[in-house]
Amino acid sequence: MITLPPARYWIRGAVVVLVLAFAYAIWPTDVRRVERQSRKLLSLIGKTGPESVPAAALRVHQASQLIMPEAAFRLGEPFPTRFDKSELTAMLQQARQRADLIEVKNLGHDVAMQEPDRIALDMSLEANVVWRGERESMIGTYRLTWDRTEDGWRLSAAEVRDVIQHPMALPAWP
Amino acid sequence: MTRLKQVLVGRNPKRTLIRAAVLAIVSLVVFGYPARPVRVKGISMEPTLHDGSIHFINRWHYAWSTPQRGDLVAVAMPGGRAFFMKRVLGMPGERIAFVNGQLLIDGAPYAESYLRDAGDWNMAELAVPEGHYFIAGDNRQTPWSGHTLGLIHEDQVSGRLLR
Repeated sequence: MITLPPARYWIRGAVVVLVLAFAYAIWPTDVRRVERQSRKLLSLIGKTGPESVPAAALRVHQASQLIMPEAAFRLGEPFPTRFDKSELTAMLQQARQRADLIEVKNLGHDVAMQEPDRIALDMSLEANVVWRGERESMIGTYRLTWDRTEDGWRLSAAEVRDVIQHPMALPAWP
Repeated sequence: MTRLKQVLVGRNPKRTLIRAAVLAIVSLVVFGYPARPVRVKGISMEPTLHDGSIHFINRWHYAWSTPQRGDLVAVAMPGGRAFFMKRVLGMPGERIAFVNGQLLIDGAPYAESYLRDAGDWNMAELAVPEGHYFIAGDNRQTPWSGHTLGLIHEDQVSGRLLR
């Protein structure tokens, strides 16, 4: 039998609590997998400096691998009302060729819906684009819906979410 | 080494640890709720709030009161780390409209002394439902159709700007 001074018990207890907290923090739940996929998608959309055409095409291809073929997008202004995956990848390809820098930051997110095979995240995103030396910034909130597939979690829809309800978006607005 | 240790943990390490823990908890509470620091991004609140300026919001302000017209309120975005900062213009049950930049409340003109330029917004009359507020930015130079303004539910108000 081993006996320890009382202080040692405190230290051991604190270590156990820290280890459990760390294990809880990194445990791979479905929500964490979807959060990781979201981070990966935003990172692939980003462009930090000059890149060759093949490198740009590779990143767009990698981003498209995270998106389901039948995915639908409603991202609000300045994008078209509704567009699909092929249109999105074409837009991404064009944007990468023209912009000097593309940065999409996640300012925070909430889990809006969680079902066994579908998870939706409401994300606050900040986009910064440098175009011919001019910087444009935009902050918005979007719902990203991810579906479980045989190849893992894939984006099935993305749509703009208005935190503040603009009068023009009201059903009864003239 | 002894000197460094003394600087880091003091003469009484246990007391230093307790002080550090108390300071950390107080800082987390104060800077998380009654004096949460925020940095302004964008020009929608010019000339009241400037792009890049740092302010504090009190997230407990409306625990014992309700927003009043003219208050600068914080509306949390998903995740709770970013906020829209807007001014309350319309109270529950009121009718709000803009005619050539003039704010009308229940059909009567309302003077907005905080504006640099009233702009030329024209917005048809909108009834503010009960439990909601109408909010907008102070910069009226952008077209109203593209300005982030409109209705929020009272539950969305996360705090008030500290002056």
